[in-house]
Amino acid sequence: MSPDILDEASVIWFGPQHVSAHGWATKLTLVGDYIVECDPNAGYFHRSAEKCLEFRNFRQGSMILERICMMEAFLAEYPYIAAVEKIVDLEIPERAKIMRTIMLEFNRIHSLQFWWGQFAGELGLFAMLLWPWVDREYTLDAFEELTGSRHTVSYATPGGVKYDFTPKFHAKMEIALSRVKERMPVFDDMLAGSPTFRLRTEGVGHYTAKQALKWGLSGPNIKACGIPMDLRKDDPDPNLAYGMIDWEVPTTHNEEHPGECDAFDRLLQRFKEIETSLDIIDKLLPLLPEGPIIDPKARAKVNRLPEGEGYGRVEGTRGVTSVWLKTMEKAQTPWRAKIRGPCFASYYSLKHIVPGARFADFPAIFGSLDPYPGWWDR
Amino acid sequence: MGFVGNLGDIFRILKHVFRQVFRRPFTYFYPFEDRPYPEATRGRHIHIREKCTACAQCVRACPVAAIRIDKEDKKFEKDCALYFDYTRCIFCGDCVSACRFEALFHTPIVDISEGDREDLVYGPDKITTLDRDPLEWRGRRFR
Amino acid sequence: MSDTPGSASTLGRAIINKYPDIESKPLDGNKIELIVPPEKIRDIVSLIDEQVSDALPESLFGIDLTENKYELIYIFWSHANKMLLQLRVHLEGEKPEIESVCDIFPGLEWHERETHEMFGVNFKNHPDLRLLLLPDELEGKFPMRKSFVTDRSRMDETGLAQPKSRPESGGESS
Repeated sequence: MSPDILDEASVIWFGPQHVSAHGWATKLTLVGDYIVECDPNAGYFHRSAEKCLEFRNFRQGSMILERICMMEAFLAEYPYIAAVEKIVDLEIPERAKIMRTIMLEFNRIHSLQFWWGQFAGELGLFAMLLWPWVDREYTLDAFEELTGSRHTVSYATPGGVKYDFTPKFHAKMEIALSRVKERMPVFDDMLAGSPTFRLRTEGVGHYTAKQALKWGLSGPNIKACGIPMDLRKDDPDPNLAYGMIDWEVPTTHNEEHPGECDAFDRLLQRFKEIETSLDIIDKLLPLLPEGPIIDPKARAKVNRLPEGEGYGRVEGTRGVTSVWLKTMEKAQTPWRAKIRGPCFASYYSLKHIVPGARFADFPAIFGSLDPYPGWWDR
Repeated sequence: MGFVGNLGDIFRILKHVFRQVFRRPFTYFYPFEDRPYPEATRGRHIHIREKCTACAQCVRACPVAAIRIDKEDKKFEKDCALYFDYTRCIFCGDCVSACRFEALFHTPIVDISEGDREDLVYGPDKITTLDRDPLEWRGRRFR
Repeated sequence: MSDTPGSASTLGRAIINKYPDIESKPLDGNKIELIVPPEKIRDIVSLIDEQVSDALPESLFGIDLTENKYELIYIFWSHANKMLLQLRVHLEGEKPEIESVCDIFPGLEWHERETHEMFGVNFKNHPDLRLLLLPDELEGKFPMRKSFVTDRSRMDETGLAQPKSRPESGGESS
């Protein structure tokens, strides 16, 4: 790019006040309406969760993590619990394992429903903004019936889960799941079937699988390139029940450019994610055995942990979510807790994906990556 | 396609509009009407002083230091006074699950907004009594 | 991918054959930890880039071990081999330094920026070491170090007897 083009460039800030910027700021350099440079800025939500975790004991830590990403609260708190369970030996009852898995998938569904609405809203389709959120209410009602809280469920605890499934919860979950199944074709038609939507998303925000791996993208953003990278299959947590059933990792293949993906592929991929989650829940529900839901010795064992390091990972809605814990001898609090948010990578990758795109395509690009500010700011 | 050709569509839209206008709304008229809360709802706490043993487990379990304990203030044999600061409480439910003497519970009352910041610190008098049902003071219900 | 090593121990052996001063430690499952001297980090990371064609730079972070000792941990994940690689680098000194690897794995660029502002680890040849998350007034204070004392006055209000606090070695309070 010759320097005299940049003389006419204008620099604008997309956010933090812009409605569809979710409170984060990206500095864009524009020539005409083409973006030539993108500089994502983080830090508007920084609450130093990692430092906070150093002062909370191992039962309290998950409460901090839940509040990082409200949309996938249980998926966000689970890696911490998995990391604690790696350090200390606990016997998780079979029933608790299956209940955790069901709740993780249930949480993924409601996070993806939120994303549909958000993505449509960013592209200006405001009817679609509210429709999935209405369905999401049924899911939240089921969460409330079980745990008493709509978003921040704090459901699992080291050693098991806190609340047992009740018949009322089963009934509400049935309503929520059947509602999702019933409305899937409607949304598929409204988003994937709409010519306006296809025009705005197809061919926008291209990257190849190789690039995505280098940037650290994971989850649906890389499965859309055709790579079935999914921690639920690759490295399943021993305290979850993904190994008990048969299921397929969904992938999307771009027919014009194999091994690449654009915003529309990522949209299709997230539809498939919901179908997979529904499938997993349907297969796990009949397997639910009777029995205890928590290791009775867990409370005493978690008070003081031995020296060790634990790396708990889970496939979140947005990608690999992990917590790395280091404890010293007889520790009441972790020495170091590192939270790896999936959107840290996807927000960073805007820097490479966006240049060359038109300004009007910018919401389509970042919306399809499903960024959530809490994950990169923590 | 002139006006006449679109007439069918217009009638369909009008039918839909009229149906929506006279239907009960999906939302609640909040201050006058409220959604039903399940039993497990994590709302404000209630402290049963008869059963409390001043073990302070709830204070230790609190991740945000929202509970203050005063062990000198005794009404019964071995109880204590608890002060709940609802400007800090995150309703995680840890204090309730930490209590082994069934002396601390959540209630389904979630509308605890106040005009003054100081009123949100629930002292021993306020935290041990439930002054109202969630819907009692809100007056008549719409429809 | 025929040239990629199948398991973590094979890759570990291949790396140790080439660079004998690296120690390896198997973790549970198909995971391996390599303890890398700081001056070798670029060689090892580019070797990983060559050997493992689908390495995902998952994470990079620092740990403060007090007394001016730091550890850096690099985590790579390979989907094709279902393998996790953990590199551990010991650093010492008031202002520890290490070579940046963000030209090999661009995904680590922001991780390095974050580690720089939180722990004061200087990444040589990093293109852009501005503050990532912190506000300007915390520049150079390195809040994730243990010597950075935070305000714990809230805990005094609970009415509990306090356990003895962490050692305070002359850090600035916030």
